[in-house]
Amino acid sequence: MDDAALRQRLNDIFCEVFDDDSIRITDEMTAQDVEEWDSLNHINLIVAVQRSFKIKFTVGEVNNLANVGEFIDLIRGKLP
Amino acid sequence: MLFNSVAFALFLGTVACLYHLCPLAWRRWCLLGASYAFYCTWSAPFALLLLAATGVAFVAANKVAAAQTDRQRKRTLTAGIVVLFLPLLVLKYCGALRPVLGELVGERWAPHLLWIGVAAPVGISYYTLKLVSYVVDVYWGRVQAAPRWSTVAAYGTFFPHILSGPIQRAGDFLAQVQPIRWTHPERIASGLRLILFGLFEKLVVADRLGVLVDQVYGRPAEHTGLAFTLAMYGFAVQLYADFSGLTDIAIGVGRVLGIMAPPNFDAPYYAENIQEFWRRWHMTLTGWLRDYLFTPLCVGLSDWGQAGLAVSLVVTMVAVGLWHAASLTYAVFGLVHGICLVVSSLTLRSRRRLYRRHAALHAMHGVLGPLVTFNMVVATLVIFRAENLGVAWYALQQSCGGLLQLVGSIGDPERVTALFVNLPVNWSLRDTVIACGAIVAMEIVHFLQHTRRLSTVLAVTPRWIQWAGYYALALCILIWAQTDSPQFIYAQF
Repeated sequence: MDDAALRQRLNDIFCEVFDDDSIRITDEMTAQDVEEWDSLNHINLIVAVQRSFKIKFTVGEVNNLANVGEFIDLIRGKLP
Repeated sequence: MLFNSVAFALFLGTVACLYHLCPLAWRRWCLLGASYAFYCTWSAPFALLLLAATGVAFVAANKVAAAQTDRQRKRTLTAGIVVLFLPLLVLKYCGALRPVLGELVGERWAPHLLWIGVAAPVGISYYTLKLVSYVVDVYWGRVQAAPRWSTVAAYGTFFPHILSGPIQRAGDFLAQVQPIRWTHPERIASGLRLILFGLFEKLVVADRLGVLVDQVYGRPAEHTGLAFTLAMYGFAVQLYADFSGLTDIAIGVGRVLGIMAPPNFDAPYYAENIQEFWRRWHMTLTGWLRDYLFTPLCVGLSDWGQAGLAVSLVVTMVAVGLWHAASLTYAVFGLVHGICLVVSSLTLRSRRRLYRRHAALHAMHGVLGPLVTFNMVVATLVIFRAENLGVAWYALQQSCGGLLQLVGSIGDPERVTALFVNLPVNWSLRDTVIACGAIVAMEIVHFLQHTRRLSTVLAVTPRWIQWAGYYALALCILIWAQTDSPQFIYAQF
């Protein structure tokens, strides 16, 4: 999957999880930038990404994410 | 040695002078010595357990960091967590199982089990969580293993936080003591301000309300209706003021020694929903449980979808309840909150859409949300406060009855006055006025802290007005402090 397609699919997941079609993800984006991004929605996001990309995250990976850029790198690293 | 005692004031003054006068290189040892001295005033024998716990955390973290394979790292981590949790489980929770264990081992050995769960070492619920998080954070690569035991020990035993938190994370603390730096006088001043405000919250607000609450819950059979309604709301404010005051003093004492700590409360009673409430109440405990229990559970149960989220929420909230003590009331308190959280989180999106579609609802939501959440929390705190579930159920019934009685009397001032005058509690109009005034003053400060405007307000306020405020606060404490119940509610956990 190329970078643009990955970002688009991830953006769609963000819009779905946070119920906001205006979200446009960037590498620097953090939980502070999205009003609804709390610990519950963080888990919903992780579960949705796992399902969509058919990948699995470890607890350490989930807890150590600093921003969306790191999240994209993590997903990319797990894709076949 | 209680935080609100003269002995502690003298102790802090001596420690602060020694700490700031000694060379930077010695300060970690100064901190460690002061922490152990403080702990020994509570329990000298259990200071050895604390010493052992910091040793276990130090060794486990370094072994995790040095392990060559992932399997080795996992095994060391698991062993470290088990050994760190063992004293907490045995000394704090096994007391509830003592009769069962006694029957299992027979009459001859039963007397040897008397030490189990008799008295949990002070602060064990706090320092265990801190040390476990340190080892796990090293495993996750969030922090580097400290090369010296004294650094880990200074973190685990840090005396301002050992009685009741906040449960500061290792990364945050270690960054401030590796190396220890010169402390800006403004940090010390802000610490002293927090201590003063914490004492006001505890002595003037919490302890005064405690007089009313203790009378009702102390002899529940003698009270009915409105007395329980007042005790129900009174306890909610008492618990908040008591714990927030204790935390403010703890954070303030830490600042006097140059250590900053995360806040534990962020105006929780104004939360719009129950999820938000738990993000703003006892934040360092809920943050700990989110990272080390809730998230691992959710990730492990991710294939279950929403059911996995629901199970994780309920388990986490029951753990929050049981963290206080092994008691059915705390377990039920946690369970009720877990169920509320599941319902609220599963319906949140639909509710938000509903508010967006109806302008009137959207406008009212800002007021209705906090009102409903506050009353829900107040009602569940009855379970938290009551001696057992029977008393809790009776107290809830009576509280609702009293509330309905009061609402039914609105419009008839004579009936309302009669309701309050005939209350069988020793609580005067003067008490009501002092308590209400103190709550308003406390909430103004909490609002400024919540909106991050406190430092701005202080910066633009002339010095003489600030000092007048500090003297007024000190005077309020001297005149109106209740000194009957010096113990903090949360220090017992």
